[in-house]
Amino acid sequence: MIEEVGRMLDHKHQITSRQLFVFIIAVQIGIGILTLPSILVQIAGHDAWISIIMGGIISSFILVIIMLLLKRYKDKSILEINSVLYGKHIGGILNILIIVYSFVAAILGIRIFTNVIKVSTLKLTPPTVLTFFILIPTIYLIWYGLKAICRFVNILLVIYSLVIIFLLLIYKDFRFTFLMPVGGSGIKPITMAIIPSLFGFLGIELVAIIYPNITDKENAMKYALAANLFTMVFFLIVTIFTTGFYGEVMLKQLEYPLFSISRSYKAPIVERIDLFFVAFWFPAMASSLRNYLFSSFYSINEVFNIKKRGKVLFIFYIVAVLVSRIPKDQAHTNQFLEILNLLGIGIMGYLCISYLFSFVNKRGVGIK
Amino acid sequence: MGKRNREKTESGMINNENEISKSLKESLLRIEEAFKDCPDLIKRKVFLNNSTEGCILYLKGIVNIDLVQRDFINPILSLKEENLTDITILGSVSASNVDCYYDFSSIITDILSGFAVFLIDGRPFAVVCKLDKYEIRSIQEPETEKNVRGPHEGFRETIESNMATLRRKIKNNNLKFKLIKVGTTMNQTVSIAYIEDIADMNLLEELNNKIEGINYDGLIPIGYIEQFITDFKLSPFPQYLATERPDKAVAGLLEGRFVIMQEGTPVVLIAPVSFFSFFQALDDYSTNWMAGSLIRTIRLLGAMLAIFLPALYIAITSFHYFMVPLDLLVPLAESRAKVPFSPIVEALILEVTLEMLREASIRLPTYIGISIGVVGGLVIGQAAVAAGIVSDLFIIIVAVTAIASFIIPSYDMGLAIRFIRFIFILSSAVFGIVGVVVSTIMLIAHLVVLESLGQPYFQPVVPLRIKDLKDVMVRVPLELLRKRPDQGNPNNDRRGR
Repeated sequence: MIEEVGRMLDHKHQITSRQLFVFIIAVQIGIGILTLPSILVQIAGHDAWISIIMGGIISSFILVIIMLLLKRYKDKSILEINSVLYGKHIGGILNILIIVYSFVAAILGIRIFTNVIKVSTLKLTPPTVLTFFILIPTIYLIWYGLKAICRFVNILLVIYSLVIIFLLLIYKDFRFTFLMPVGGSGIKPITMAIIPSLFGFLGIELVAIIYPNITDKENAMKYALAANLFTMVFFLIVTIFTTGFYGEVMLKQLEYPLFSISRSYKAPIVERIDLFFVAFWFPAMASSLRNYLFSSFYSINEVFNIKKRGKVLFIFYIVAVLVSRIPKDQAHTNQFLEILNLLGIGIMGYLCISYLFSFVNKRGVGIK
Repeated sequence: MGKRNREKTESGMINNENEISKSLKESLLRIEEAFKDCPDLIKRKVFLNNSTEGCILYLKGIVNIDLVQRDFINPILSLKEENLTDITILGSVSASNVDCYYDFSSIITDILSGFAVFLIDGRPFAVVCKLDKYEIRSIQEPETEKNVRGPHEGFRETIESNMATLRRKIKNNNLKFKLIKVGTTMNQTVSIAYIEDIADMNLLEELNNKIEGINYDGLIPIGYIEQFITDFKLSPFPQYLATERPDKAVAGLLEGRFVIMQEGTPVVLIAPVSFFSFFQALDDYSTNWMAGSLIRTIRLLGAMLAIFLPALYIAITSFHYFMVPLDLLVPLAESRAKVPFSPIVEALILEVTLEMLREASIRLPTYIGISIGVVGGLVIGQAAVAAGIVSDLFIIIVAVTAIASFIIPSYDMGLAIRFIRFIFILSSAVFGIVGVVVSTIMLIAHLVVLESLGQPYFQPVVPLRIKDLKDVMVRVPLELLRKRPDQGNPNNDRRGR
């Protein structure tokens, strides 16, 4: 193989805090938002947006605790902290748990991504072939490391703004009365919906894995929180808009409200603008699962100290595609997803507990 | 064969003894051995006024013999015996480019690079004088890079004249040239031009090491160097900007970039460059900024059309025909109904024919080129539709694509885009719009990863440099372009005082 050398490969994982901002956004916005409005509306009715705000606030608190934990250990990632904090054996098990979690999250992301493509555009293509194909850019970027991934996800900002512009195009059909009365669903449903809304904010836990690669750590907290708030605002806009557009009764029935809404706009010249909309959303979905896939690959490299990166990545690629075919159908995937979401909340909780525990076991705190 | 033998004997000699012997006969014997079967080596024995024997050696055709006789041989012949020490000889010769050597290997290289060498019996040194005269082309405007309002001169094949061209344009002692020898057999000179108080010296060091590291017998066009020093060899994109225009090179130098010149080729390389450098032409800057911006935008649009248009056509006609508005769908279906092939076959037939036509027109002389145009135009334009091989709409798409890809100022970038277009066509034929999207993502991912001399290739966009965006799609008025772009990592980024 021809050797490719460049400065890119020398510091391939080093990112700035600003790039951490886009990394977090890319992980959070993507796949979750497709189903989030209808799931939340099923529980909290037209007040789903209140749950999102509360979910955003809670996830921000969790993020602050995660960042504080990482700050206590200076240049360590959660993988190293585990073995310092809990000892070699328990730490090792926890590390493997983290790898499995991020891998399964990526796998389910791949599966949902493939399903969406299958349903919306290519109905007859064999899904395994499709999965192999759509993962090519992802694997390419993972090979070039975190810096390449973060540079790439910058273009997602363009896609998000296109979505907002698109929503503005159909503002005429937006009815405020669908959102009235505020808080009408009652306090209990709204608080019940906080947990599913937290699922949408999953992804902040990946900061714990990539933290040592941030060059300006003093700004990391600021940018990470900003990213979480950005996500919250985006979720809020989409949820409020879909609720005001469809009304809660209709919205409950929809599988992917964000895609359905694109079908309601009739563009001049081009028929079926929704296909373009879906196509534009593909990179956002891919970035979301890519960041999980990268985190798990990166963790494997760190934990098992792998030398032959290329070969391992290739095996990783094939395994990821094949494993993503295990769930039988959409319903089966959703069952896995429910378990995964709870696991994600569990990981967040475990990171918070680790922070508290680090005051008990002070080994390795603050040492570079 | 003779060349190879010479190489061997020459290196053998150097190992044995590198000093010039005092006896003229012995020296001549060694030179003769080194230049065996080289009839262009002229040896002329002369006697100095005290009957000391001397010999003048030079290669026919690359030495200006009139000047050598007048300014080199005559003054030496008129010297007295006691003046025949090295330093006084140099002082009394009227030619300007005179030097004195004591080692044998540099005599050989000097003879090869157009020096006249004078050996004297009983003296362990040689006097050399550079009075070369190559036949060179007159200054012409580069065929492939014409412009409207800029200067109409181009680089030429000799490195000296190219360096002089740059020097003439930039009258500043900070313009430096770093000379490097490359080509183990051809012994070519490569020069890196830069402006010392602007360019980044670390980059110079890196570039210098890269060029010095080339281990190859001969680098014929400058593309050899380009390919040897490219970091990302698995990329279709040019990472160095090749140009024949001195004004483009000067513009690059002023932005803190380096200009790599090679002996024997009129093309120079500019590095580091960004993706968008390939869409800039000097006319954008020399005309009104509004018109310049419009043209610039049209070029980028052209590149996008050249990549996406055929792929989108294939994706839509073979998978998502419902995206076509009804008014267009009916005529499209009508013209497609006559075509027995699937859209991809149809596209490949026409695209490949067009590429062949284009390739043919490059090599052929102009008078045959015209008939090629007629054949191509008639056959592709009329007959193919009438015979039912391709549909009407696709003819239009191919024509628009071809025109769009012609407006890219850089030939290398045009090639890259032609190549990428085929990848897009194939992937859209298999996966429809998903293929187009995935290829686009792959393209952007690749551009984001790519580097030119260690500098990000997609620079002002990703990583974002807002102040440099003034010179990408739009070209703002020159008063606002006060800062040099970040790409070359310039030391002082302010243009003017």
